[in-house]
Amino acid sequence: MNAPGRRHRRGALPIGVAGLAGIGVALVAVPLVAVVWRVPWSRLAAVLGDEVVVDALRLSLATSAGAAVISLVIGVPLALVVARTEIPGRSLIRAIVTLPVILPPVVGGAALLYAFGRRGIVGGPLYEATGILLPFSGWGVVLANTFIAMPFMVLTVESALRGLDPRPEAAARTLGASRWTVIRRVTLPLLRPALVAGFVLSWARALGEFGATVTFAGNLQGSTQTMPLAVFVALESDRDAALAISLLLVVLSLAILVGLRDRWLRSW
Amino acid sequence: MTPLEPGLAATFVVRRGSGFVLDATIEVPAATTVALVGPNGAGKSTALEAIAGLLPIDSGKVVLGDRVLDDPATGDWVSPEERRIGVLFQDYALFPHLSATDNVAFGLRCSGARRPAARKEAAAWLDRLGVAGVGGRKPRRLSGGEAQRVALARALATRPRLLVLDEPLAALDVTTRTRLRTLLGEHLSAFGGGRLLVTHDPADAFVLADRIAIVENGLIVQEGTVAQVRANPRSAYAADLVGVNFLVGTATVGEVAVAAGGHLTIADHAVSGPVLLTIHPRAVSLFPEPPHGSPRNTWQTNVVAIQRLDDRVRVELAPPLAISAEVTPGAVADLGLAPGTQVWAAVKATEIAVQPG
Amino acid sequence: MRQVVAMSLVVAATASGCASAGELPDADGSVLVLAAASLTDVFGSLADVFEATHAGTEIRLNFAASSSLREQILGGLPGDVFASADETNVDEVVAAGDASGEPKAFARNGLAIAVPAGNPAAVNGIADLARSELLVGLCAETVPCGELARRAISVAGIEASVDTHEPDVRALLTKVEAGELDAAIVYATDVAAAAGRVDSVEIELAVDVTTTYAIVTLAAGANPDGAELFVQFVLSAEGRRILGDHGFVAP
Repeated sequence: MNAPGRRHRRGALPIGVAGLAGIGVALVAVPLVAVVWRVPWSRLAAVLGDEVVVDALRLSLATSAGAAVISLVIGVPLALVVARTEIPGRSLIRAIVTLPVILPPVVGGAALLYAFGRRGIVGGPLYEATGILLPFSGWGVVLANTFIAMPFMVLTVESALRGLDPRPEAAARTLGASRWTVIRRVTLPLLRPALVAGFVLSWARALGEFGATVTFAGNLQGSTQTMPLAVFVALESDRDAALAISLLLVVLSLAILVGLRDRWLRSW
Repeated sequence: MTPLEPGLAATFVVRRGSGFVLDATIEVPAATTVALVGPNGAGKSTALEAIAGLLPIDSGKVVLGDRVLDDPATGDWVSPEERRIGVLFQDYALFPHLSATDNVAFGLRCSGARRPAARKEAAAWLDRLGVAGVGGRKPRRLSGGEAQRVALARALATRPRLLVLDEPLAALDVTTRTRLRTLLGEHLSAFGGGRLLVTHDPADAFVLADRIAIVENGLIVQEGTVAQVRANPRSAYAADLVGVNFLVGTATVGEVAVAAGGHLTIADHAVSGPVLLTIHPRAVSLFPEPPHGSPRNTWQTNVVAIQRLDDRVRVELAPPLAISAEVTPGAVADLGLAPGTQVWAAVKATEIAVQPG
Repeated sequence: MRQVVAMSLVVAATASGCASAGELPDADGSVLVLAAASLTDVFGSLADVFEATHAGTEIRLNFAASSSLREQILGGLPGDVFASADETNVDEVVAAGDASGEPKAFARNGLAIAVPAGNPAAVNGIADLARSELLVGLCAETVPCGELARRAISVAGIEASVDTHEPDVRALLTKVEAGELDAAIVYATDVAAAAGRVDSVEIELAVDVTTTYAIVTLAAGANPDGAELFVQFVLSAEGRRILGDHGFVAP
């Protein structure tokens, strides 16, 4: 028997779930709104046109994209090895590769310094032999970003690999495909959603990276001062500039994440 | 019709990580369909993977025609992509990201064909299999029957020397299955090489196969032509497959003590020792009261279950001698048969087929 | 950790409900001191000595770049005392109304060049910072130590080839110690504190530049009496002696 005026909309979730989700959205959205609220709109154009900001923007985009690409090229084979082979110690490999996610970024930066710095165990001999110096350089930023961001790629792709139906790959072998052809023409296309998601995640993470970058690569406008570093420095002298750069960073990150089309994420 | 291809001769042992061991000899001559039948877990998939090269054997030899595909003793090994064995996988394993045409063309492109030529040949194969119109669609938009034929076209397009089909009709509903079974039979006959059909469905075996090999618990328990196996099933599973009653017992001068309980008189007085008995359900008669007449074997029992099959009825009887009788629906009505009803069963000694066990 | 020991002292004192003779009962509890990063070692010592003579009070120390602390105070951080590496930051806090007393200068600090042990790049004076093949670090401009360094460089009239502006002076020193930087301009007190781990090169008197450290009690603090006592202690003879031990000069 229907009581009048009580037709509930047939939603998929109970009210409580939607309520909690709403709190989650608010938790993230409110600070962002606060930033937008305080942005000095009249000074915005001037601040964003400032050399410091332009340099930081250019550097951030270049180094984060570079880190994302390296994460793709190295991370995918790594995920294949961990998910698809029987080599002993692969759990250890996975644990090590995932470590940067839980390690405080500054600790990561310090570790990078001890490894690849001028007196580092690898960096030292490298410098002696070739004169190549990674800290205090743009490539140092890329290295720090990759260190922090690659685990996101590896984890995303590995998890997708485990869920992949192995039979199309077996079918491909019986049709004459070599192992390499199977990866190229079957596995990778089927992994596309995970590759896209992993790329975007690692790019976004690299864009926001601060601790490891400042500890390993230092902070110099034009060569290592990425946007997060610029914000940090600006916070102490020119809060308006800090807000403006923060806004830019938020917009950029949103663009990357929103640009991630549902379509690309949907599996075949 | 394609020219005769050489056949498969495989004798091997495969040990799986789970402890399961498959020890089998499988031969598939050219232009012959061999059905590999067995219950789940018997080793059919293992056999298929070993033959296709997706799993290495531990000992033995897999030979296709004049080519040794896998021989651990000599170290000979041919990788799956070079074996020229076409496989139709259960659930078809079509590439979800490619159209039907590109699926079929896949194998052709792997062997070096350029895309336009490969697609053209792929289209011809789809046409041959009666699914010309679906070429542009992705697998998720194909019906079960269409997907099956695309998968078959994909396997055939590479002109393999041997065709292996893994439960090719299992994923289809009953009506489609019957229709496609006939079609499949035609395509298989047209294929010049050997065909190994892995299935658990007896209808597949009887309609499509020339020979049957029955595998149980990792061993081939019976192998022969369809007629031979039908006539003399040598295991409960085989008998079930063929649809006859199966009993194991010990014979002494015309009397058999059935292992599961009960006695039966048989016509053969010469055989003695362990025996396998098969009784066709049609040979079992049911009476409302003790019958008088020639049947040497009569006993009182209860009805356990009744199963209607088209115009016949299977009546399962209670232990000992828990066999099935086949009667008409009219008889069921006349005798008032229902689970629990008491009846008298009779079997003529001459209707009991006896094999040494 | 010091704080754990201090905490248990406070708990014990409160539990026994007694106050040491001669103390204002209200001074018991904890005093949150926000101090410049370069004061880490000396304020650690000052706090230890203060707590030893003021059994009911615990000094909680929060070190960061002075400019960073200023921002947090202006943003509402409830500290009791602010000790900055320059007077400008303190003045801004006073101007915003967040201070509860008059700021007092309590120390002066000069600059020195820190080099890795053994001075591998053979740095002899501030003029060497113009050598482009050296890896040179300064504090970030917005940090008092950085502003001071820039002033020193401009007074010296050189074009320094700087490779990084670290967010705080401790990070800078760590890199020098590790040999990742060849030279860095830091406070004289930092070099004193790190004696043995880094070597130092004096900056010639002609370009010597100093900064004056100032201390003030804050309005938002929870323990104004404790704060006042601590500030008095820092300004006392005992406090000055400890400051001198760490390399600070009288204001």
